[in-house]
Amino acid sequence: MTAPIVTIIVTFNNSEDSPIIYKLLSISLIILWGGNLLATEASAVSVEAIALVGNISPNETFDVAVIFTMKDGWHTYWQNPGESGMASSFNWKLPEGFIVLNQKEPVPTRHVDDGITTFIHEEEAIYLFQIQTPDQIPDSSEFSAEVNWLECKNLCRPGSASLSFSLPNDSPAFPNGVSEDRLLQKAELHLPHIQKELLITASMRKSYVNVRLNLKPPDGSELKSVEFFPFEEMVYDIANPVTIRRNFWRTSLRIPLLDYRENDPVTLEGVLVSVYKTPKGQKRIASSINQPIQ
Amino acid sequence: MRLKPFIIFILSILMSTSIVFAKGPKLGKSAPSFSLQDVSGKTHKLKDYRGKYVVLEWTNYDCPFVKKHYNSGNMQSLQKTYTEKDVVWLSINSSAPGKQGNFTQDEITKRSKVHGTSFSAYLMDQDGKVGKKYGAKTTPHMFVIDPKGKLIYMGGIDDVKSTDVNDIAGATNYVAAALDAALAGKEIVVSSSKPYGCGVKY
Repeated sequence: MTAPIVTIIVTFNNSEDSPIIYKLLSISLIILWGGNLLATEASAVSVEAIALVGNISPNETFDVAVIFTMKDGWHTYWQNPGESGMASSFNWKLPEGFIVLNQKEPVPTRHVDDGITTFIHEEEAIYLFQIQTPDQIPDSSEFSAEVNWLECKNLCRPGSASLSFSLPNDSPAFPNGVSEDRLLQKAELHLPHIQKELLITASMRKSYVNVRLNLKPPDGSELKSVEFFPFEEMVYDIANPVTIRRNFWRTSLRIPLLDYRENDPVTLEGVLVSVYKTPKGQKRIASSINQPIQ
Repeated sequence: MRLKPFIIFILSILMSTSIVFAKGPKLGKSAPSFSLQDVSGKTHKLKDYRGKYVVLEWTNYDCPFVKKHYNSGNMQSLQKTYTEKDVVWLSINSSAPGKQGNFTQDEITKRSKVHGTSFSAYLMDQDGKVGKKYGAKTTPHMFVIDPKGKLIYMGGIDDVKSTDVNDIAGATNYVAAALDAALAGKEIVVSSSKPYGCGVKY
């Protein structure tokens, strides 16, 4: 992108006609080129925080969406980044008495680059934070968060942002006219869900965790593949796939463990993504898993 | 006779898949052998250093996690401390040509001088064979080998996974702890940890 501009600068500098005009043009183009360089250094990820309420009352909860928007090809990392990378972190500063009850993160994508497996977010990732209000709340409350992340494409670089908002907010600004309900729906679409019908038993084997599923595939569909995104690092062999075993009654999974794991897992915790082949195409179902291992 | 091409075909598939990414070395077992050239063209073989402790440091000067440890002087300080105790410190660059961290020999020499490094040698592994043999995933990714050639530590440089220089002071440096224990004839408390950093740019 910059090479043609450099060529033009050289041509102008070499010209002996109207030197002042050409020098001015050269200076302008150098400024443009410099601006382009600055733009190249700018973050490839933008982050904003949006309270999904306009007003708050005592003793209730409300949601805040923190939206990561990534430039094409760039990614950030899930809470367990995988074999490299770094999870995004959030340091909230809340008014007295307010607390963050929980943080929900969208389901990641498994990414393999040069044989290194990572769990990433691409394009857009909407985190949801549930905040509890205290017994008494002031007329106006200021909320802020320091957000840190690692953004990678062909190279990696750290990114950070200081986000803030106040409540009540008389003029909530939603992106592109999206309402708070639609934003919440959009966020929830990418979150893992707790499936009551997904009753599982997990048992420890030498080199894998055996998981029995009592899941009923959607009508006319067939389980094609399963991915497991563990919360724990250095326990599961994430570079190797989860294998599916079927018998007449049940479907079971083998989740491979690391040979050199730090310890044996006590609980199977993470996100299980089941991919079904249906008459209408593929269907992905992401479920939160928190199951004691026998 | 007809079986021979088939067997060769199967063997070649098995070999190619194992070369793509070996599972890596195992603690307490012999560290994989290698032979690599440094920036001046001198060949270094791991077996040449039998009888000494050896540190392998996978590096990429443009990775923010590596910058954290070099811009703070932490990595150079470790290199200096332990090479003065007769430990061999080998920095290894497995960035492939055209990828982040792959530099000309002049650039590496220049950058190493600017950083004030004290490694024993900076080795070039542009085809990534040694990196993959060791299962090196990140920069930095650290390995410590004992005088018998056995792997006694592998993993992260410390326990704080960040790019923030300010975190170094409060971190437990696993490499220093492993070397201090080994040099004193004591047991290494943490012999493996999760490496953190940028992915190695194979």
